[in-house]
Amino acid sequence: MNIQLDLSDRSEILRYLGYRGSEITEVVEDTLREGIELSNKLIKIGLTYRFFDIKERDNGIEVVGANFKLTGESIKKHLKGYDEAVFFCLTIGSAFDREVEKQMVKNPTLAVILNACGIQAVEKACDELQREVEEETGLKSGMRFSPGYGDLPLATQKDFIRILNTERLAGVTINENYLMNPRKTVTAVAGLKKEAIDESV
Amino acid sequence: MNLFDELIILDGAMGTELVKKNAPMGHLPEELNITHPELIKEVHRSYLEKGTKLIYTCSFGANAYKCKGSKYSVTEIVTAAVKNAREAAEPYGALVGLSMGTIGDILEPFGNLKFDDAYEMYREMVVAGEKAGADCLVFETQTDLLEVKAGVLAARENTKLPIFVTMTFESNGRTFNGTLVEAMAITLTALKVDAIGVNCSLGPDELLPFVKRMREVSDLPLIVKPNAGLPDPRTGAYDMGPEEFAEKMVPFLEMGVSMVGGCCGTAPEYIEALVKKAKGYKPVKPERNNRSYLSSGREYVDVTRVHVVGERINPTGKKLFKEALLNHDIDYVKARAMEQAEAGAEILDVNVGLPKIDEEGLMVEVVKELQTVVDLPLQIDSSSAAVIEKALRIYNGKALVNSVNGEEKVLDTILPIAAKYGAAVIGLTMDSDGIPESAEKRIEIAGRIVKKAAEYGIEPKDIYIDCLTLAASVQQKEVRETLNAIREVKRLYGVHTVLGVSNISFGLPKREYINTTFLTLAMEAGLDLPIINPNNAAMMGAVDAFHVLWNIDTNSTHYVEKYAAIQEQEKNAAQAQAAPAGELTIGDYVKKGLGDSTAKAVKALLETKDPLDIVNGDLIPALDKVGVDFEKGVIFLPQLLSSATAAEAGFNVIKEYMAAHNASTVSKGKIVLATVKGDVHDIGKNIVKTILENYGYTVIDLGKDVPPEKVVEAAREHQVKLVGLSALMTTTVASMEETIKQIRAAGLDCKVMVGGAVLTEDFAMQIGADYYSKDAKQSADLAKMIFGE
Repeated sequence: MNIQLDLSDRSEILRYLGYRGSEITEVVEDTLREGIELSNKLIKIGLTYRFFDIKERDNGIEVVGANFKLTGESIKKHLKGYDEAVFFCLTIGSAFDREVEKQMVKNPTLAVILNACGIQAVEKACDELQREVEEETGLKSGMRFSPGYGDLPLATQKDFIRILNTERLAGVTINENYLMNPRKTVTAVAGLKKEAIDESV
Repeated sequence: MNLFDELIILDGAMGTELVKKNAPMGHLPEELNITHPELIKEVHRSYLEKGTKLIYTCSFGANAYKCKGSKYSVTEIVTAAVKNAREAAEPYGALVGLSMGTIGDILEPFGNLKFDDAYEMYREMVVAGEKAGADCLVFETQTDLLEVKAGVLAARENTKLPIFVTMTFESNGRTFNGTLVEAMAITLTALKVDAIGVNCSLGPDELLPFVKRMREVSDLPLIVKPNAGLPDPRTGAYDMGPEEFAEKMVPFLEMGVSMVGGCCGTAPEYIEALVKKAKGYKPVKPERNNRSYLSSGREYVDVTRVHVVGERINPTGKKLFKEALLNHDIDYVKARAMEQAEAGAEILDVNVGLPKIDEEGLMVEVVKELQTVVDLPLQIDSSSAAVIEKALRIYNGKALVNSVNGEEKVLDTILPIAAKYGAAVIGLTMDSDGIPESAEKRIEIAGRIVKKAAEYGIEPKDIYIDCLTLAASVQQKEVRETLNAIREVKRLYGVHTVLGVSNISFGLPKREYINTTFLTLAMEAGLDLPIINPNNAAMMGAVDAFHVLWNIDTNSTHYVEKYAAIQEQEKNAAQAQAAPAGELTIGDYVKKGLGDSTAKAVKALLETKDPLDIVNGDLIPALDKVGVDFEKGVIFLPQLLSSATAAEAGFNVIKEYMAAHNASTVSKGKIVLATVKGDVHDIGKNIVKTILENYGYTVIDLGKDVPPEKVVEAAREHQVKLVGLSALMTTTVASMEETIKQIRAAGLDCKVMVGGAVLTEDFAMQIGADYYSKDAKQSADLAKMIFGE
């Protein structure tokens, strides 16, 4: 997968930066452009995903054949009505982190902008992945849900990392506080079904 | 084991074979060594039957980090794994390699795994492996060269077994962590491991160019263990069958690699096919590689022309640099490194020696941190053997040591350290009698150094002789001696040369003329590494011009590219200068985020105004104004930061002015900042730092993942009135609380402010903080309140 940011991502990037509609100085405008261009050179997508059957249980969702459970009410509600799900891990790579670190010393404005571009890039790539999965399977994908959302324990991150073999396949590791490396990485699960389910209820 | 004697056939994948045999796959497959030894042995035998001569144990993830939560210890698992492999291998007369994958956590400074902890985890494995009877130690599927180095040192210092390393590369020729194929091969060749190579991630086709590149820079035996082509991301199935795989392995056999096998997707049939193809092939011992390389953990320098060594990371004669070191301002050092890299330096000298400073600790920290922002090889510069050793141990790559001289005692102290860590060495042509006047004498000392180095296994190509520059104003006659010595030592000993250039003009006006001319003469005489200030355009120009005139920069490509752009820039700058200056104030420039204009305006004001008045009357009010706008939501974070950096440009002018006029520097007070233990995300803390510094406070930045004790120690040492702590995750707020507790317990008279994404005012009070700071602006307000205006 190859994801690039462009001007259509500008408003999302600004949103991550806490922008509320004031006039943007020329310097910041230039830095925004620079951030987007630089991001496109740095993004290197690492990706791994697997499909599992899922079953609703009393205290959560059983991931069939993966030797683990997604616990809590939130995930139960989120995956209600689904019998299958895609589990994935997606990162934009370690070069990105390195550049943010570097720019924090050299040009902090660019560093925070890059950071926001990174968030947007990883989100955009996740959207693209879900779209590709839909195309590949002919199924409709529900919204993605990550460890730490609602009452799904952050510790579940460890299971995602394990079942997806992320270290080998995407270069993603996790530390004892469940922080993933590279930093701009998403692990998530999304339900799959023939007909789209309205998850807003 | 002579790895150039016979081609050794390795095994194929372990995990998938276990799945095929319906092995129960729990959290740690390595436990099967104890719970289901027969299964493991069956897999080993399936490969041995097909002709594998060296099998890898099923111990890939059997390290302390990944075994946490297992009911078996690392030693138990490793011992069982070696035992199973041994028992299977014995009837076939095959060898057993202890397989070790990555630890699974990230090393500092990007992660929070300490080098010494990584060392310890590998030590535990290799010691158990040797004891259980492994024939060799195999670090495989590795992605971080520094982690590999920890493992190699653990193996070297605790066992007698041969060490093999294979790393995993992506299609761009780098590991996930960014290590380039050459950087890996150069570093590990220098560390004198027994064999290197590639495994996993890609198929034979994709790995072939990488293995060829390894052969270019290394004469070690090579190992190749590719996947069975590329996987289908959805099914995980690989696209090559056994015959195709074996066919694709032929180019490796032809180039004479020493060991071949398979990784993911390969099975016994693949090895069977490979054995058939491999009949008649033998490893080829390459010719001796006579080039000298230096490397970082990511990039490398092949010393074949003139490469500039940046001299700016050195406190000698630099007031601001000294101050930065005393205040533990590592970012200042990092900025100097980046500046030099951008200016074209290819190697950076690193010297942090100051009286009454913990040089060992500081050197280690600076070396670690520099590697996060520059890719250049480092030149470790210290007069202390202990400092050099500490730095080389944690340095990621092949470094250059600065320096030894002709004194026996110095040679016998430093050379073994350089040899152990595979560093190249600078040899000064002087001894206890000082610097000899004649070229002959200096050449003789160089000879002594070369001879002594050979005793420690350091080859002439990795010795960089410094024939020493004397001031032309004092010893005019001897200038030529230096040049003659350069020519001669290269001819006689096959060494490389290095030279600090700018001393030549000491005591003379218009030093640049003398420096540039001397540099040019020295390059003509054969100087490889001039140590200069790369920010000096004339000196860099001389190097670039030399490469054109010596027909090294073919078609002047580099020269034209670089200087056409510079010419253009100069033209534009001249035009901009000509434009009429508007009636803008410092406040306007800061608001617009225009650093250069702010600096210029401050410079102009210094003609008529006291520096402190500029700080308090212009710069701070300008910052205050954007701060208020930020609070009101009129501007957003990037604008606040760009204004702060513009103000910083102004502050820097003031700081330099005051340093030049011997005035004490401007500081409104010292503040310790840290991202607490366990937390490696420090962007928030860094934003706060930028703002505080630009309000004129001195920030002692302890970085991220900082243990409570270190915060207490720094607060005490620097007698600060304010400590700022940042935590991003709920999981690390506990260590924030602990840090506050320890600050209180130490009875320090300082306030604590805290901030971070998951904190609230209430929460902050609950964990015992004095203040909650919701953003960078508020932290500056708090500082103002505590230190007074």
